[in-house]
Amino acid sequence: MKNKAQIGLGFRREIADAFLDGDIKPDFIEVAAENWIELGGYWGDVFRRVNEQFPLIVHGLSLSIGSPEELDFEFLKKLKTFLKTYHVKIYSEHLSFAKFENAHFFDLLPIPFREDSVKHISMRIRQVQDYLEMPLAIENVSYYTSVEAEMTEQQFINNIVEESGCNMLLDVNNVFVNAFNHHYDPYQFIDDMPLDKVSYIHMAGHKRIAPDLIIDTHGEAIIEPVYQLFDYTTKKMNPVPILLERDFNFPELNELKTELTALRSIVNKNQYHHVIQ
Amino acid sequence: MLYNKQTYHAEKLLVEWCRTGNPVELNVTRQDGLKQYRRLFRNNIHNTLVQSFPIAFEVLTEDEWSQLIDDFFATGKVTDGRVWLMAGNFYEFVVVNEYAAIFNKPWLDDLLLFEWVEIEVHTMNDIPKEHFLTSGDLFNDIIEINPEYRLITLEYPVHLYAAEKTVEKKGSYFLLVYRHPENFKVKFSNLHPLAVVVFEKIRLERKSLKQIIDEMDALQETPIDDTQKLELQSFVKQMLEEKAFLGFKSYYKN
Ligand SMILES: [Fe+2]
Repeated sequence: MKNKAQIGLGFRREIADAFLDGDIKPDFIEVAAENWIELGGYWGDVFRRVNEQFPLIVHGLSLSIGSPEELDFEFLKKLKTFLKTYHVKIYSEHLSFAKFENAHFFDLLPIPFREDSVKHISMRIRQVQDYLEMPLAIENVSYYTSVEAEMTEQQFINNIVEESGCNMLLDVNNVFVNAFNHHYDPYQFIDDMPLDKVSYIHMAGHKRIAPDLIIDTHGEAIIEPVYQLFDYTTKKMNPVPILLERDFNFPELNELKTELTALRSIVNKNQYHHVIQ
Repeated sequence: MLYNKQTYHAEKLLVEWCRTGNPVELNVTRQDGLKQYRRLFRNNIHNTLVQSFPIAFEVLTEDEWSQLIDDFFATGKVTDGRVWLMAGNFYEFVVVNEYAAIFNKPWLDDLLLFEWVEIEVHTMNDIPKEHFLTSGDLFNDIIEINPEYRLITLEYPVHLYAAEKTVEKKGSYFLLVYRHPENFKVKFSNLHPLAVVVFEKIRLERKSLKQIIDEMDALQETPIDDTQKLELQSFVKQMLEEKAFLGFKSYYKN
């Protein structure tokens, strides 16, 4: 349907049946490529079936754009095949590193916000985009400390987006989490982002584990201040697809549906229309 | 690499801290935040491996399990971004570093292999299957095997008995682990040594059971008696029923 806001939901194994049985019908699904590439058997079959029913956006976990070592072209080759097979139009990755000297950690570590990092990462983003023959959307991640920083996160992101020519996946919850943990104004942060380059938005819940520390868990419902920040953000932007990220601690389907509806109504209120091309 | 030495070093130290917990000289804005990374990172490894090796987690002591996780975390290497493959790296790590001897649990390697192979067979990419017929003569026709399998050898029969009970049953066990082509369930068959020979010949030489038995008969050392012949026939029948063998080739191969 034209001019309909595109609100998606992460496709996760724990709730796979709800997608397949039509109990939940987001406008699109998002998966992490690494969880499905070259996967056969039961889950391979489930994945093929769910892809017949929903448009697919692909997120990444292991590209590790912030690693010092060479990109893993063997992985990129598999990824390219995967993206082409499922006609994926948006591929995103985290602005972090998840691997060092070719050992994977399955965790997103913060890249030092530095001048040479901007150059290194921009070069790698360009290599990825050239190889995949499609844009990469780079995501602002939650981080719990900055490391050997020479600049702010805003400067770091802006410089990379500008120098590499990549798109941005704006995770609004991550902005909230970082603003809380590092004591800055999330609204100012949104104002500082290259919003014209944002091709995709993430929304999620988080967990406050200490009075002054929030962890980005994807295991809770979205909280009101994050909806407010989302409202503010979407007013300022061109329409892009919106994803509800929920990775564990799954609630009743109705709760997820309520969250999807809440996101949709904010987007609609802001006359925020988009169709995945 | 366009990182300068300092940036490279900062990442290296951050990883080192996460993996070992040894203090590092790093300019950070939140020490408590730094600690979170080690916690989150270790949790990922612990949770993935508990899920991958539920039996080993159950039968090892808490200290032994913690030691394995800490050591693997500090010095092991996960070589693929697909999280389920971490189990394979962990299995190799435990074998190479001889934890079975350290813990005096000789069955440990076999137990981990058993649990890892289940994951491997469950997740392995689909393998294109030859065309096959569902009906045929199980003695004279060439069998088409299900290619989605692993055949492993175990010294300790951890697939038959509780791990601690396998010490006195040490021997040579052959376990066929395969994926049912329709419901995708992973199934296990404990194979008799003679069945293993037949299985391998069917797989590699693509001969009928009759041809295989005739050839084995021709070798003086391994004559096959009538009881064994019947057993092998029922082995083939059972494998066909359970879809470890898919069916029959539609022509004879000479
Ligand atoms: Fe996100």
